[in-house]
Amino acid sequence: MYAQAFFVAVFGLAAIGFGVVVFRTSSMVRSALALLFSQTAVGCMFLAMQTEFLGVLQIMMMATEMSIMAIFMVMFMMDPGGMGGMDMTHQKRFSIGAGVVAAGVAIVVAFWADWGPVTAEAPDAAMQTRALGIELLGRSMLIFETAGVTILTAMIAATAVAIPVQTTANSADKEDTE
Amino acid sequence: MNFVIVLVALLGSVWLLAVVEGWTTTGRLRPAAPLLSGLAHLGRESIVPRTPDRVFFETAPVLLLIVAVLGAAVLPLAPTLVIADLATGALFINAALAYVLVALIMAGWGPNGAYAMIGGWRFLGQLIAYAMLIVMPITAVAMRAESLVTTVIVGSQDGLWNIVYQPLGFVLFFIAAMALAFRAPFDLPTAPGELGGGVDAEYTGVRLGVLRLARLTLVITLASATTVFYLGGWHGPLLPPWAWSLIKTLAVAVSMLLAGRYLPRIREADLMRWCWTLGIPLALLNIIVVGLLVLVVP
Amino acid sequence: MIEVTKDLPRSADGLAMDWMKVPFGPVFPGLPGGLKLTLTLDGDGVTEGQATSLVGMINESEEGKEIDAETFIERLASAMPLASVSYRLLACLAIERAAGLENDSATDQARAVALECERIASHLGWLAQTGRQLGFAWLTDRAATLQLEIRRASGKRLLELTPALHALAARLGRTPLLKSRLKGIGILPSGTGGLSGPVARAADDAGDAWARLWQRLDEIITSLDYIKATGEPGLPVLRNIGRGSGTGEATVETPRGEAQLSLILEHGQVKSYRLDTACSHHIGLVAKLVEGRELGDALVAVGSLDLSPWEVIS
Repeated sequence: MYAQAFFVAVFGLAAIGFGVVVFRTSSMVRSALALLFSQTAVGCMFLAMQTEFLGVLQIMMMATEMSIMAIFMVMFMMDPGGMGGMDMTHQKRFSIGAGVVAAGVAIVVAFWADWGPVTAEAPDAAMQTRALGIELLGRSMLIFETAGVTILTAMIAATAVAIPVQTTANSADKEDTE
Repeated sequence: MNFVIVLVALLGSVWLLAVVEGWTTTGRLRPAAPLLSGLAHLGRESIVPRTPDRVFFETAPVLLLIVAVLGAAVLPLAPTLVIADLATGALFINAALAYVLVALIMAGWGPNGAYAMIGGWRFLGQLIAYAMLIVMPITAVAMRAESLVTTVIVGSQDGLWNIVYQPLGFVLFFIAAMALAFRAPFDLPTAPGELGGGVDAEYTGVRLGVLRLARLTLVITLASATTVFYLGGWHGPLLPPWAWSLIKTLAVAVSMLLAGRYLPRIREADLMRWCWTLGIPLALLNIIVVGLLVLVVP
Repeated sequence: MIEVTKDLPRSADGLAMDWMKVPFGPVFPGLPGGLKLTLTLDGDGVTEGQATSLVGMINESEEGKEIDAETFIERLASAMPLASVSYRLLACLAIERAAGLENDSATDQARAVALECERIASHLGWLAQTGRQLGFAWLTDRAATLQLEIRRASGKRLLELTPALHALAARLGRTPLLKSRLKGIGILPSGTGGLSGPVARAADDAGDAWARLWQRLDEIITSLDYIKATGEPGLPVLRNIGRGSGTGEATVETPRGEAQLSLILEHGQVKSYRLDTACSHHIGLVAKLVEGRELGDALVAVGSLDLSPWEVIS
């Protein structure tokens, strides 16, 4: 019990620590990977709280996602290495305000919400995985499928918008210039 | 205790693989060569490039080694000889190996050099190609075993190995595993003839030693995963279970090594195209076929 | 963000990114030593590039300084380490013609065989280099071994190597991935100016790296057939020219294309000379070949030209 609380605390603090690094560095790659390790620490918190499947899934998904984010940040930022001394912050007053409000709301929810009774004994990991699978293919199927199809549609739409339209006029232009 | 045994087995396999690698490239069988060159790395100057991202530069080789060992931690050598018999073992190995990408991006970005950086980002593109071909064949394997536990997966292959039950999945997984381990012909992030070593280019001395050890460990881990998922793990006549696991793992690792020797490096565009237009449909077909088999055959 | 990126050059995909100028060479595993390729990279793509030679000859004889004919031959041969027999032959021919010597068919034949031997060895050397560039370890080993054997071989031993060379070509035809790697890369259509040697002959076919590979493999076989029909090689040695004078001009088809030498001979001394080689022209094609290509393809295209930086005359 104490060991569990200890590890949850350690990974929690690590998650916060890496979260701070995200904003303290001017290097885009460091920032993205700090966010990754913050999320990995959250995944480790899941593991410490005996939700094995969720923890492993979180650790796995974040690695690829944050790496892809990193390359987009490198591509679009002017000073991706943070070595040019460029100021990466803007709208400071608004963001501080928004941050404080959001933190306050989160704390209020954490303390005021009714979290229900604490489970005495968590079911073993294999049971959890099975229960999760049945949940995903049962009651929650509609929600997840809708979300999945929506995201897929958005991705296809975004790609379609990004490709320049090939009309006969501008393809003729292209041939002229070549 | 299991931890020590598995680690020794891993190191031993890495050593054997390095000996075979030396044998195929130089034509001489020198059992001491990997140890000697490892020691030589310790003695050499380990240069740090100008204005590096020091944290990434130092962490990357170690992170690569750690993820390779973590991946091996869920793979059983024998029914009880496994470091962590997780309930989500088949998923965990994916999670561990996803950090190969992170390590390579760090190794690419850290030294502040053009060759390394291109190499590191190239691997991100490579991941987009191979990732689905790692995950989807494993899905089909888990479907047959009706479990994500690696020991149960090996148990499910008693009598009929997955290489026979789902040969398509084996071929896809084997190719994707080679791409994940960035072995030739998928060595795009290192590409000696194109990038002068790529992510390896700026590493010297002890850091390069760790990086090489990590790469070989990664190959062994993936070969071991292939053994567990497709070649029936410890199953085999006469010899004790752990011996079969080791023999199969080494055979897979050596075949990965040899395949690269007789092929030119693939073009990135071709890798991407073939993986998405051919590999993923085949992987889906594999899942459907295995699903039908699981449902129809008792 | 738009304000910051609007003046940056755009790549083909419309993204504005920082471009990097990266040197490849003069000592790079995928390129011949001495060749320096400077590429401007936009991610993994090449936006522009040019090649220079750091070891090429300078095409000027020092004013008023005469070189002994024998010394001239030695110098020219050792200045071109990748095709020394060809240039030795070139120098011998030019000097002999300047001295007014008649052709001698027996000598010519032995010389021609030596030239063909060098052509085989040179093409094998190129194959080994290509293997290194493509990460094709087997090809590097095999071609390098054969190259060394050919260089040491007499006429008879050469014929014994014939099956091995045929097998090499057959093996390359069967190798998966090789065709997709080379086909359509580095296209030089037959109208391109300045082409010579295997590159020009491959241009009549498809003109890409794949065609150049097969052109060179075919030339290896053709040279073998010629050697089989003709006889023993003999290293070009200058015949007795006495203290002849005059102007002479010679052309030799070296492994990389046509080389031309014209010189003025005075009393057995070379007074001035003018050398023109295929590589001097081919190196200028690099900029066009690499532009807009992916890095790997650009390097394959440059490699397929078989540039010898030593034979680039500035």
